[in-house]
Amino acid sequence: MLKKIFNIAINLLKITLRDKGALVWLLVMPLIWTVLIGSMSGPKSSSNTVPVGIINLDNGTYGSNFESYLAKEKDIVIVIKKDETELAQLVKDTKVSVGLIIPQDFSDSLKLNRSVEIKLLKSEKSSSYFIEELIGKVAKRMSIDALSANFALEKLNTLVQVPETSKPEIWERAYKIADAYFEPSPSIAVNYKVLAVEQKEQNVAVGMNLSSPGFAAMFVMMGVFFAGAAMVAERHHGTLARLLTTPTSKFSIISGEMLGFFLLGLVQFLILILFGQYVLGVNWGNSPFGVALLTVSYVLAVTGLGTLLSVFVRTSGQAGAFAVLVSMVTSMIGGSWWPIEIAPKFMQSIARFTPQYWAVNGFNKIITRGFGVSSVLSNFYVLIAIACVSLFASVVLFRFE
Amino acid sequence: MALLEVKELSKSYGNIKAVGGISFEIQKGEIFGLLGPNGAGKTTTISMLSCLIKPDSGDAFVDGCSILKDSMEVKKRIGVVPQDVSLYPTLSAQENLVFFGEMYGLTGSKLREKVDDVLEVVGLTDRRKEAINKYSGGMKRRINIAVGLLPSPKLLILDEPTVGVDPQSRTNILETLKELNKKGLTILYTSHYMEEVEFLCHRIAIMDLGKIIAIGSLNELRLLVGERDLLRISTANEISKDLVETVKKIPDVSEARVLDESIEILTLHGRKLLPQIIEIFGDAGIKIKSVEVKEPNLESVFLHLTGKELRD
Amino acid sequence: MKKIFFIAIKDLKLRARDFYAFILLLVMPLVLILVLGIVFKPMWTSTPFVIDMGVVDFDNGEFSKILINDVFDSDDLKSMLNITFLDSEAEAKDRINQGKLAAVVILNRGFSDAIMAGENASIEVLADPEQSIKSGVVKSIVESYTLEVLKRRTMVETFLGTVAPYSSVNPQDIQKMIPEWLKEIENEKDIVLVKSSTEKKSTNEIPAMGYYAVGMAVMYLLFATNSGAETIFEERRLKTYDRIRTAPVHENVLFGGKLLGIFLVAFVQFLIIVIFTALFYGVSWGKSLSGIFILMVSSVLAFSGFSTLFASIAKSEEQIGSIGPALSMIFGFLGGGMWPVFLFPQWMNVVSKFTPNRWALDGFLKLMESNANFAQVLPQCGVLVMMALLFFLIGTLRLKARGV
Repeated sequence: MLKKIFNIAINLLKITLRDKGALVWLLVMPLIWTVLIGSMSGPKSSSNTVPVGIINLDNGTYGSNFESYLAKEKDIVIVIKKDETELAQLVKDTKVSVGLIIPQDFSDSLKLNRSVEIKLLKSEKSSSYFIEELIGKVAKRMSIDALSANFALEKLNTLVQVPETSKPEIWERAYKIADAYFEPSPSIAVNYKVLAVEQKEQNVAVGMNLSSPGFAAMFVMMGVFFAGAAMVAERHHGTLARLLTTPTSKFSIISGEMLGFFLLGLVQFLILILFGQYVLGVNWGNSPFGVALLTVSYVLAVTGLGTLLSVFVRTSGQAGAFAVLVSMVTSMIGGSWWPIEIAPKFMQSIARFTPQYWAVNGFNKIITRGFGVSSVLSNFYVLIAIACVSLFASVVLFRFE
Repeated sequence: MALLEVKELSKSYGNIKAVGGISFEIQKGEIFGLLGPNGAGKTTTISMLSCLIKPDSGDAFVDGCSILKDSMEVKKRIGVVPQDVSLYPTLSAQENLVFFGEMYGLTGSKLREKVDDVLEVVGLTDRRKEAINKYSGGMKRRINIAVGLLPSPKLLILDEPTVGVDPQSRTNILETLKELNKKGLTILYTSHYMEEVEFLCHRIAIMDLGKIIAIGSLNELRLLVGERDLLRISTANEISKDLVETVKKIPDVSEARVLDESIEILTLHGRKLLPQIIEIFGDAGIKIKSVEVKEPNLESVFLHLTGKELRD
Repeated sequence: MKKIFFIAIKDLKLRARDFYAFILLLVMPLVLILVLGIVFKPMWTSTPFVIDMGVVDFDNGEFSKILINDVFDSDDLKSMLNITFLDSEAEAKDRINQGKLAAVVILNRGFSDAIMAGENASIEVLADPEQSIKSGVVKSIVESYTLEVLKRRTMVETFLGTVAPYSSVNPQDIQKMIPEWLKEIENEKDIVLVKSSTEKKSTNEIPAMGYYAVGMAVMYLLFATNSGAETIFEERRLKTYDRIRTAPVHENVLFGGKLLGIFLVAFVQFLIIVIFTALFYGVSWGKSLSGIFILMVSSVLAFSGFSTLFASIAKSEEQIGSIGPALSMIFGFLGGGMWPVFLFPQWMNVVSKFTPNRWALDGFLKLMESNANFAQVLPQCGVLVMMALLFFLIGTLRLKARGV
C-alpha cells in the first residue's frame, strides 16, 4: 500500500511540474515578486550612507558647527550646496534624502537668544524619518548649548558686572562648556538595544522589510492550492470514480495525493528559502533544525487546507479563483506582507487563525531574534494541529460526496 | 434550377486531399443524403457549403448564390446543424436561441415568435428555460436543430446529427425532419449510419476518400450491386477468418463480412446458394441460429464499391 | 451594427452567471480593499495606537519618578502607553522575546544620583525587533525626556562653569537661586527650530481605504479583461464561433462584438467597485464626475487592449488562466497599487510607467487628492488610450492571422 501511495504522489508531482502554468505560480512568480519587493524596501543607496544637502548662509561660525555635528553621525554624508533651487531639485530627485538651509542670521540669533529656523526640504518620495530624528537631535543640542551660554551670561551679569567687550568671549567659552556635555556622546542618553540577531543591514523587520519568509509562505500556499487543489479538483470529480474501481483504497488515493502536494510545497519552499538566503541575504541559518520543523509543519498545514479546498471546487478555474483569494487575504492578515504590529488589535487576533501567522512568527524568532528550536515548538504544534483538523475535515466531508 | 449546385469542390490540407473535386445537385423539396465512413470528407464538404472554410477550387450555389462570392447571401438561406453541440452551456435553450436569432438578424416580436416556433418543432417548449448543460445528449441535439431552423432556411444542412443519441431521441429527430420536409424544407443530411439515410433520403451520394463514388436513389444504388442478395446468417459460435475466406471463394459470392455473431454475404442467387453455405458451416462445426435473405443495403453497396466497411 | 452589441451583451450575461467569476472579479477586490484599508488606517491617518511597554525601575529616584509620573502619565501619552511594571531585566527580556511588550525602559540604580552629581547617566530601552515602529516611538519619548533633563543640567552646569573663575561670587548665594532658576529654565523654549516644507502635492489627504480602492480596482481590471480574453479560446473550443459564422455575420462584427464584450465586463466591474466602495467604505473618488468617467473608460480600454494582445500570444485558455493572475499582480504592484510609488527605486519607477496601472492610478489620485477636473486628467487618459490603440493593433493583427 505504501508503494501505491508513493506512486500516486510522484505521479502528481510529475504532472504538476510539467504544467507550465503551475510552474509560473510555484517558482517564477514568487521569485519575481520577492525581487520586486526586495528592491523596493532595501537600503536607499548601495553603500548604506545617507546624503544630506546643506546650504550654509550663516554669517557667523555656528552654522558650520551644525554641519560638523551632523557630519559626525554614522552613515551621513554631507553634500554642500550653494543654490536653493539646486538643492530643491536634488531633494525632488531623491539624490539627497533631505536638504537643510541654515539662514544668515543663525549665529546672531543664537547669541541673542532669539529663535531661528532651519529650513528642511524633504519630499514625500523618500522616507526620511530616521534622518529627521538625527537632525532634530543636533538642533536640540545646539539649542541647549546656546540657551546655556545665554543663561550663564545673563545670570553672571546679575552677579558681576561684565564688560560689554568681554561678553562675546565669555559667551563662546560658556558655549564650549555646555557643548562638552555632548561629547563624545550626550551626557544623559538613551541606550537603545534591539533584541535581535546582528544583521548585516541596519534595519531589521522595519516597515515592509524582511518579507522573504512572509512572501515565501504566501507563495507556498498559493502554489499548493493552485497546482495541487486544481489538479485534484479535476481528478476527484472526473477520474476518482475510475480510480476507485481499481484495487486502490480511497485512503491510499487521498494520502497519495496529499503526499504529492506536500512534496510539492516542500520543494518550493526550499527553493525560495535558498533564494532568500543567497540572493537577498536573509540569514535562515541560525537554527536549521528549527527552520526545518517550521517548514515541514507549515507545508503540512497548507496541504491540509489545500485538500479541504479541493473538496469544494469542481474545476481548475474555480480552484484558481479561490486559491488566489484565500492565499492573498490570509497572507495579508497573517503578517506575510507587513509586520503584524501595524494592524489594529482585533486584526492581530484574527491573524492567529492563519497558518501564515504561525510560520512567520516562528521564522522571525529564528531569523530575527536568533532563538533556537525550543522557541518554535509551540508554532510547530499549532501548525500540525491545523494540518490535522483540515485533513480530518476533508476526509469526513468528502465521504458524503 | 436546383436549390443546391455543387461544382467540382476541392479542398486539401497539406498533402491530404480531403475533398477532391465533388459535384452534385439537390432539388428543392428533396432530402439528400451524404453517406460515407469517418474521414470521407463529409464534414469538410459541409464546412465549405456553410462558408466556414474556403474551397481550394470549385464553387457551389445555393439558390443561385455563390459560396465564394455571395457568402452572406448564402448564409441567409441556409441553416446549419453541425456535428458538435455548439451552444453556450450555461445559458438556457431560450437564451441560446434568442442570441443566435439575433445573429440571424431577427429582432423584436419576429424573434420571439420564431423562437417559440422552433422550440415547438423540436418539442422542447417546456424545457426552454433550463441551461443547456443540464440537457441530455438527445435534447442537446434537438436544440441544435432548432437553432438551424431559426433563419427559416431554404436548405437545412445537418452533419451527423444523431451521433451519441439514445434511440428514442434519434427516432424523434428523424421523424421531425421528415415532417419538416413534408412542409417544404430541403435537407442535406450527412451520416455514416446507413439505416437513417435509407429511412430519410430521397437521393443519396456515397462518399469515400474525398470523392463521390455513387449517387442516386436507394433503388438505383442497390442496383449497383447487381441482382445480388444479402444473406444474413447468425451463428451460435464464432466464425473464423478461414471460414470467411472459404465462403468468399464460392463462385457468385462477391463479399462476405463478419459481424457480431453473424455473417453477411453478398452474393448472386442467394437462395440457391444457401444449402451449400449451410453445409460448409455444418462441416466447420458452426451452429446456425437464423438465416435471412435481404435486399442489399447501402452497407453492401459501399462494401461492394470499395471493399471497405461503412462503419468502423 | 446591432449584432456587435448582441454579442457583447451575451458575453456580459455569461460572465454575470458565472459564480466563480463573481468571486474572482468582485468579491476579491472588495475584500482586499477592506483588509488593506482597515490595516493601514492607523498608519495613514496617524491615529494613535496603543503601545504595550514595560518599565523596570531600579533607581526609584527623583528623575525616574518624573519620567514615569509626569511624562508617561501625561495627558498626551497616557492613552497611548499601556505600562506594565516589571521587577527584573530578565523578565523584561522574556516578555519582549515573546512579543508581549514592544519595549521596556530600564532605569538603573543610581540614575538620579548620577544626574544630580553631574555625571554621565543613561536609560536603557530594550526593543522588540518585530515591533520596530512602536519601540521607536518609546525611544523618542524617552530621548526627549533625557534631552530635557540634559538641558536643565547643562544650563546650570554651564553657568557654574562660567562663574567659576569669578571668585567674587559666593557659591552659597548661587545655590539658593538655583531652584528658582530651574523654574525659569523649564519655560525656556528651544532656539534652533527645524521647519520642514514638504513638496505637498495634495490638498486632500487620501485615507488608506481610498488609495487601495484605486489600486485594487485598477489591478482587478486586468483580471476582468483577461477573463474576457479567455472566452476567445472558450468559444473556439465550444465551436460557438463557427456557429455564429454560419449565420450572416461578418468576421469583423464577430470580432468587434468580442472586444466590446471584454470592455463591457471590465467596465461594469469597475463601476460596481467604485459605487460599492463609495457607498460602503466611504471612499471619495473625486469631485469631477466627467473626469472619473473618462478615466474609467480610458483605463478599461487600455486593459482590454492588453488582454487582446495577451490572447493573441497565449496558446490556450489554461495559459491565460494561470499566467493572467500573475501578470495582474505584478502589474498591480508596479503600478503602485500596493505600495506607494514614491517608495520605488528609480529603475522601478521607470518600469512602472510602462504599465497602464500607473497612469490610471496617477489620474485617479489626481482626481481624489487635488480635486482635479476633466481637463487635468486628460494627459493620463491620453497615454492610456494610446496604449489601448497599440495593444489592440498588435493583438488584432495577430488574432486575425491566426483566425479568431
